[in-house]
Amino acid sequence: MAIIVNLDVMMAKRKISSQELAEKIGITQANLSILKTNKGKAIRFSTLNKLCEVLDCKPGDILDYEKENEND
Amino acid sequence: MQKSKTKIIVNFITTLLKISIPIGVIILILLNSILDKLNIKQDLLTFLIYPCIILFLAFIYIFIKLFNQLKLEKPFSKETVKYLKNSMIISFIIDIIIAIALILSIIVYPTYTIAVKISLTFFFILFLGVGIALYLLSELFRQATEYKEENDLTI
Repeated sequence: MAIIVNLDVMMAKRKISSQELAEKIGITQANLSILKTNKGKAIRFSTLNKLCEVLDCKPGDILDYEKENEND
Repeated sequence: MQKSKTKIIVNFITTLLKISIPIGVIILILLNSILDKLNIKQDLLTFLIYPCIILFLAFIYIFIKLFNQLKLEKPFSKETVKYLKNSMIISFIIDIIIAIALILSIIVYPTYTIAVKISLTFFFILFLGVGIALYLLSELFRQATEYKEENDLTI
């Protein structure tokens, strides 16, 4: 997918562990891992809202867009 | 309550299917002598019964696997789609064999009674319908599996 989740970068900046973040936004560590590894198909606004709230950032800091190579 | 009812029905059908496999194998082994006892002359048409029984046993085996998927409460998985597609292929192969038998009974063996020809036509239409229904089901399950996966991966 062309949308890239840069969650691990923000987590490193805020020095927060996966367990702590998962607990604070109210999702399981397994689901957080799906998000971090770009395996997720969609993200709810409520989850994004909580992520921005906990990590004190904007959606653009977490999500990025990279044009997919047409040859791939 | 509904879950336990479903489980009882699934277990009952699975047991029936499991019993029918050894019965089918026994019939397959004894088919030659059964045909002899019934004074049925053995030709190419009767020989086609063998692949039909083997394929039908494979059909039953896949259905047991499908019911196991129901038992495990994961009907919308890639395995279910695979089993439905395999059973559809088997159904169409059986249909082709029946079509060959029907053509043979009309052209090569015209001595066969009209009842044989009518029953072959009936089974041809039946397996064609089953094949189409299984194709439809496999496509529906494929799409449903995709939707479920999308839903599961929505965080």
